Amino acid sequence: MREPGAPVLECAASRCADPPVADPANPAALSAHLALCLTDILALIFPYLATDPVALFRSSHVCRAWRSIIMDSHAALLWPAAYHQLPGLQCNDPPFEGELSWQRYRWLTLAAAIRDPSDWQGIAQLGAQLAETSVPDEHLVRLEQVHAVREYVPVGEVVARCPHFLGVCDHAGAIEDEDDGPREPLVAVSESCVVFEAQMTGHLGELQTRSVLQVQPFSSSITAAGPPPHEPFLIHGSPDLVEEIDVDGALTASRDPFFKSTGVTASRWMWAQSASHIDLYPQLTANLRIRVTHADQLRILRTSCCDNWLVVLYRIPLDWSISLASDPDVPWRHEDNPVHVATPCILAVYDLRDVELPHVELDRCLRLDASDVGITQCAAVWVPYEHGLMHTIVDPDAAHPFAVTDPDPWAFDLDSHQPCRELFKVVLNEQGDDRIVGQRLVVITFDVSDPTASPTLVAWQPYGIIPNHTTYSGGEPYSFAESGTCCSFRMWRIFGRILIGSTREGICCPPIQFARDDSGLNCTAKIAPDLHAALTTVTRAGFFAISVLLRESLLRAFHFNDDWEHVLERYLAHLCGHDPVLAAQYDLRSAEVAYLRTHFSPGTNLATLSHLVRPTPLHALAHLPRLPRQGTWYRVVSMHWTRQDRLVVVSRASPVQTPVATSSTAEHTAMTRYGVRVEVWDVAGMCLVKRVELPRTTEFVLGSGVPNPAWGMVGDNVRGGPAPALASAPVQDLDDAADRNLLLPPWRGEGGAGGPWDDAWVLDVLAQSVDVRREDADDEDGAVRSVYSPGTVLHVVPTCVGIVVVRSLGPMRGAAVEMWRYGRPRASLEGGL
Amino acid sequence: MVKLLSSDNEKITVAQDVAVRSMLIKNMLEDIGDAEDAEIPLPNVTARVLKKVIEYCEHHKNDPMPPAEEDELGDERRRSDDIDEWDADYIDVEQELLFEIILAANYMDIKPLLDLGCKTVANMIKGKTTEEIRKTFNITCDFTAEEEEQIRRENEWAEDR
Repeated sequence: MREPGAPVLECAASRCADPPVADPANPAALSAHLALCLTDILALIFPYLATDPVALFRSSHVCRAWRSIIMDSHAALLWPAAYHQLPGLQCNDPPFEGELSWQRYRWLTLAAAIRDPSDWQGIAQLGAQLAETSVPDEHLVRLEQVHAVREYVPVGEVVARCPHFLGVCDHAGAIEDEDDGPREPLVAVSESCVVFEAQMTGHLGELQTRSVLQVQPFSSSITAAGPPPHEPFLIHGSPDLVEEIDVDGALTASRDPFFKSTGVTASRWMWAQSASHIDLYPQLTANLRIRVTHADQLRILRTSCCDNWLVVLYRIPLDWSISLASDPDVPWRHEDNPVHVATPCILAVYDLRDVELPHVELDRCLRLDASDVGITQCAAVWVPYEHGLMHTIVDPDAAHPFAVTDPDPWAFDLDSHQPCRELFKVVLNEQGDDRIVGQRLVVITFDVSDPTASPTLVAWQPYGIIPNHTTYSGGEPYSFAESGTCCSFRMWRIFGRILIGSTREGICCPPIQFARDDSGLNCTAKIAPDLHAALTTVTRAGFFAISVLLRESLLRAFHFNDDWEHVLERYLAHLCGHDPVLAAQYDLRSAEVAYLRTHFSPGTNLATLSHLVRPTPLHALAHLPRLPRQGTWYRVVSMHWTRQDRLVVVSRASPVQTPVATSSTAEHTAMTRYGVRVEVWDVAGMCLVKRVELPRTTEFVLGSGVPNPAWGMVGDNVRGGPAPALASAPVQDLDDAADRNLLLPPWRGEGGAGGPWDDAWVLDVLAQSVDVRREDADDEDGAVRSVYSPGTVLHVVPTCVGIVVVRSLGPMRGAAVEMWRYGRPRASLEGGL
Repeated sequence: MVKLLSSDNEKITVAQDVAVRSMLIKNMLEDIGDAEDAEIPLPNVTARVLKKVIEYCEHHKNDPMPPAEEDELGDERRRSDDIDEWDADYIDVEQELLFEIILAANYMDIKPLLDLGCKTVANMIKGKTTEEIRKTFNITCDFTAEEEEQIRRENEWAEDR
């Protein structure tokens, strides 16, 4: 019992402990009540904020006394309580790997509640719902869970502990890009973690509202020399307001909720790009976020990032393009339609080499602007194209990225092209179209030899792919050997100085073709001063000038005119600057010269300038052999160059390819498609080292109210034995084991005897799940769901150290991420794949 | 009946079953035994506040007594949205009186009233920005400029929602 009159409460802070001043006439003179400065009282109030971590967090910023209590003296009680109160998480157990310190609870709570509470909560609740039996109709999704690589936590345990984990969006659930078919999911992998878009698959409506990226650090057992494992966490970008031009040509603002891309660099950064900003996070700690934005909030089109450099492609302010199209002074030619002319884009380079990050405790969250840590835009240049942004560093000590053999399609005169400086190359290409021959691209080269100096623009080289046989017309037998490339290219990649293009599927051209970019390589190479000035004057006036100067490159010829022969003639003329008749069409007209005179310095040689921005023909120097098609069209989705002489190519069956098999019942539809194909090529010898066809994928689309298929075993020996098959779900058109195996590719256990990949380990869990669902078989409110058989490969990512494979663990059981490391000796490559 | 003496020397008589809602008074009554004329001094509570506290005790005199000791709030007790109608009306007072009631409840060891006061303050905090919280409670920001900058950046995470 307290003694009456004893000083029972102690004031925690002197500055707010002044007695209240009751002066209604002067409210500003009021000070806080004594109770709000007393530790004992505050310690009784703050626990009631545990249900609202944001309020608790904000309260910690009110004054020193409050901060001391929330972040220090009483943090050990407040934050674990707040974590357990997170709605939807139901995490009454520590999430992973034993007890957490209260500091980790604080960090997890902040990560979960503050960064994106609405998304997290929604995802968590949905995950919990899906983990249970009843799924509302509107959730036409499949829940996939990702846990640490090679850390085979029993699935049920993962589900119970972390219902908020989601999986990598797979191919089938991906949305269609404008031109490139289904969009590949946002998955990026480094040696230490995987970053993926934890989105709802199978329901396009959900994609409109999600912008969450989950970072899953790999287990320390994989990266033995790396840092200790961390808990998974979310990073996100809030929806941005972006400008659009409506049908009337007026500017409007709309919300763009999407991440455009994400990635992980070799060792330093994770990054995520939304419409107006790029967030950089130090790898494995998301408590520090560095936001890169343009001063004028320009919309970001593409991003490419590595440990030392960040390349951003910005769209020009839309009012500039409106003004350009409507400006009567702009000398359009009579056949030009401004609507069909693209606009130049702004390519900006940010230097990340000398970034010094402040020390921030892991349980705190800090956001910095790029300038706070010394990240500045060190170069900006106009570019005519906006697709396929890639960058690469050219090592001055490596003349070739692979061993040179004889005969060598890559041979060049070392005496005149001796590399002597470190180069930074960026490539962009125009949007492809099936009707155009070849493709145009531009390679921008900076000299980055001096680590203390800004990059110097040393080359701006436009290229055009030109067929050898220019009179080819469709319908006739075509010979690539005789006539060269006739297909448009789907993507370009640059590795060192090597450009690799992959064509659209076809029967005429090799799918992978190689070219070389030597621009800026010579140590004396220097960009013409006039061109340098024109390209780096990134202003409104500069935009008007460069748009006129780059007119031909910006013309979307294939949209401009339906006259195919005329289009082809224009395109070739643009590339064939050496043809005086054709080139004459593209020399600057007097009106254009007069216009440009007003924008450039008087001494500028406009004829030379016009010539310098004209594409140079780029011929494929080599190509991989086109192998027999074997029944299906594949298209390259990613490439990675490794070990100097190996190219790893991942291909998917074309989306237009008819499924291998389909089966429909009243309850479900099953579709089996070709699996991902992985090829390893020897680029010195231009020969195939290994090709692996990953198992076919079968997707079951289940109707409302239908229980999950009963995944049973055929035969007694489950490990490495026959495939799991549909035991009870009817397959009307397929009634023998061979056909069932067609739908359900063999599941190969990888753990060996007693290993974690025991089929039973997966299937027992599934069986339990099915049993539960059978009880609710009469529930008509079930959702339409897509499910995969255990082991189905959903996604493959080649990296510099290995191939990352995302496998489904079965219906609503999640997915596992595996990394298959490349073998060092060449011989092991065969076995490795 | 029990005689209570406020800090401003006002004597207030209350029924014993009401007075013993306060653990402080209950323990003192046990200490002094049957001394009927004894006055219990409450030097930290003014008559105005004491009458308000007694009003609460009167209303809740038949409620079961809370457990003597609770180390930590359970999940249910952390809720601040479960205030019943009478209590909500009762605690709907000016801010200064609210805090005086909290202090009195803490001093007189009336746990349910203390909980009610703390929940009310927590509800006043929720949904407000840091600056709004300061303004609501007239709290002076006493951070240094450096600390302020650090906090501003920390806070951007919370605001960026």
